[in-house]
Amino acid sequence: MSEVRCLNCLKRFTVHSQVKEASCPHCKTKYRISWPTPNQAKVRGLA
Amino acid sequence: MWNRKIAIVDLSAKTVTAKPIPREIRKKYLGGRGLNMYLLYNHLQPNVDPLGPENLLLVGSGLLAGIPCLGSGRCDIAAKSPLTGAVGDSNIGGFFAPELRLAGYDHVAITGKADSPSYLLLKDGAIEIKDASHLWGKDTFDTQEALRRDEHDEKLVSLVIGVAGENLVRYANVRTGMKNAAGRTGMGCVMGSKNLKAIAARGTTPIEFADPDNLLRYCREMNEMITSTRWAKAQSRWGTMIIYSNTNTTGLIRTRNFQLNRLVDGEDLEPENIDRYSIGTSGCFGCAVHCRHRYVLKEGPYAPLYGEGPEYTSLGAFGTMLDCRKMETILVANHLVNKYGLDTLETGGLIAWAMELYEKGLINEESTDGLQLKWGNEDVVFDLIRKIAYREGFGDTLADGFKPAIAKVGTDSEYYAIHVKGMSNLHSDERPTPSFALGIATSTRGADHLRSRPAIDMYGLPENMLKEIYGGSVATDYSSYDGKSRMVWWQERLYAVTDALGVCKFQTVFCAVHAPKWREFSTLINLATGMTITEDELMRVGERIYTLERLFNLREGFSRQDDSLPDRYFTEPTPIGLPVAKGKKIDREKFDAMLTEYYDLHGWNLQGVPKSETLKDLNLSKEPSKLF
Repeated sequence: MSEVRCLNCLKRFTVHSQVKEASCPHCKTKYRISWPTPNQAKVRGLA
Repeated sequence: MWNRKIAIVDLSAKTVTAKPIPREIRKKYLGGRGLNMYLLYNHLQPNVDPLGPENLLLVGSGLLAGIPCLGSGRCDIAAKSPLTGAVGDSNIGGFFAPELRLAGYDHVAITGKADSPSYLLLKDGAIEIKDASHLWGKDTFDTQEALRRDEHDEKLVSLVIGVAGENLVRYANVRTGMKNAAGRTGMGCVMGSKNLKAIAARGTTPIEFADPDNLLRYCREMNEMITSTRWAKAQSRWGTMIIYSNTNTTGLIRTRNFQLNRLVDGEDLEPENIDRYSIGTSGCFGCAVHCRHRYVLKEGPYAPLYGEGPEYTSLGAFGTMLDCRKMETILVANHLVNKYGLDTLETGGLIAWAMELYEKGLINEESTDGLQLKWGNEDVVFDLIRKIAYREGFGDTLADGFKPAIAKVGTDSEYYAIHVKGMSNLHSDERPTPSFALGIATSTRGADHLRSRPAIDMYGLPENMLKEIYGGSVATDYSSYDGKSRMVWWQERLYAVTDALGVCKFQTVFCAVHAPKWREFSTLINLATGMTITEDELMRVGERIYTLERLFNLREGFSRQDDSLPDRYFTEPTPIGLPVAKGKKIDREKFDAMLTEYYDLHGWNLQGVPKSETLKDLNLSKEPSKLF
C-alpha cells in the first residue's frame, strides 16, 4: 500500500501494492502508477 | 578559522592582494550570493560594459561550505550579466567551494583582463596567474583533466569555461566536474571576456568550526530530516527528472516553444527510462541525497558517451520545448552543452523560439544556413548547439540571446520569444500557477525558477499550514492569486539566504515542506561560526540581499515595466491538460494587483523602488560602501 497525490484535485489516495493503474476516488482521474521503491508509488502519467 | 579571506585579483595589472572579511559584513550578508551582491553593488560602477575589463567577476563560497550536510559544496559566481545587463549570478554545486576554503579563501574578486589566456591557481594560501594558452580551445572536460595533469594533482578542483565562453556566447556557463554548472546569466562569457579559462583550487588547511562536535551531531540530524521527506526519497532515485511525470501529466510544461502545455506521447522522457542508461548515482559535497545519474550510451551514432544528469530542465530544454521525444536525444544534447559550456535553458529556449519562427515562416533556410528547423529534428538540434558554441552562421545570431536575436531576425519574432529581462524561461508553463508567474516576472536575474519558486504551492496544502509557513493568509488552490505575492516574497528571502549559506535549494523548503529552513539555518550558523543570527535576522538578511539586487537593477535602468511576462501568458489560454490546468491564462489586472502587493511586502513603492525607510531598516542607507 502507498499513497499518491491526485494531480487534478490534489487529494491523496491509497493505491495497492504494485498496481499499474489507479483512479482517484475523488475526481475519477485515472493514472498509470510506477514504484520507485517497493513501498512508494508514484504517478507515471494518465492511463 | 572559519572566516577566510577575500582575494582581489587584477588580471590587467597582474596583481593579487588578500583582505580579511569583516565580521559585521558577514552578519549582514553571510557569504556566497549575499556577499557577492554586496561586492557587486558597491564595487562596480554603474552602466559598465559587461564584457569590458571593468566588470567585476566574483566567486564566493557559501558561509557553510564544507559542513557535512545539505549539499554544502555550493559556490556563487556573480558579475553584471552580459545576457541581460542586470544582476548576473549563478550558483554551482560540486566540490569547488570547500576546496576554495581549504586553499585559504572564501571569496575571489577578479577585475581587469589578462593579455593572453590565463588561469588562476589558488593553493594553500598562494595565488598565481598562470598561462592557459595550451588550454584555449579545449572543452570543459578536457580542460579540467589537463589542469590536474599540469599541476600533478589528481585532487585539483577547477571552475572552467568551454569554447562557448571563449567565443563570448552571452549565456556561456562555468562548470566543474562532469555535471555541475553555474548555468545562468552568462558568467562563463564574463570569464571569456577576461581571457580567464579556469580557476583552480587545492588546499590542505582544515576549516576549524566553532563547535565541531555538536555541528557534526546536528548535521546528522539535518541529513536524517531531509532524507526522510518524500521528495528526497524520489529525488535520490531519479533526480529532478522526477518532476516531469507530474508536470507533464498535469499540463504544466511548455511544448513546441509555447504552443502546447504537455508533450503528448512523451512516455520515453519519463524518469524511469534513465534506468536503461544509468550506471549509478552520485552527489555533491555534503549531500545525502545523490540526485544525479551517471549514464552511458553504448550504442548509436554518439556512442560511446559518458555523462551525468540529466536534470528536469534538460528534459524540457531539449525534449518538450523542441518536441524531441527520445531520452537519448536529451542525453546527447545534455552532454554537448556541458562539453561546450552552454546554459541548457537558454540554448533550448532559443532553439525552440527559432523552430517556431521557422514553422510560422518568419525565418527560412536562407537565414538558417540551410538547416530545416522542424520540430523533433534532433540532428538539427545537435548541429545548432555546436554552431552556437562556435558562433557559426545562424548559431551566431542565437549566441547573443533573445534581445539581440530579435533585433536581427525582426520585430515580428518578438511575440514568440519566451523571456523576461532578456533571459529565457525554463520549460515550465506558469499560466495555471500565478505564484510561479509572479516569480519569473520579478526575479532579479530574468525569467527564473530558482529565485522564488514556491513549488509547494502545487501540493494543495491546508490553509493553516500555509499560514504557519508563510506568516499570512495564502490560498490552497494553486490557480488562485490570493496570497501568492506573500509566497513569492517569503521564498525569495529563503533562497537568498540558502545561496548565501552555500547549501542546496532542494534541501530547504523548495519541493519538500518539512525540510530545513530558518531555525535550522540559524543553528547551523551558530555551530559552524559561533555567530548568533536569529530566525528574524536571517529573514532580514534575505530581504537585504534581494533589495540590493533590486537596487543594482534599478541603477542599470530596469523598472516595474520589466517585471512582466511575455504577452502570450496573458493572451493564449493553455490548450490541453487536466481540468485544473486547461484553459488557463494570466489575468493582467490580477497580475498587476499581485505585483503591487509584492512590492508593498518588500517595502518598495509602486514603481518597485525601495522606500527610504526600508533602506534604513535594512541598514542599506549608507551604501555604497567599500570592502577593498
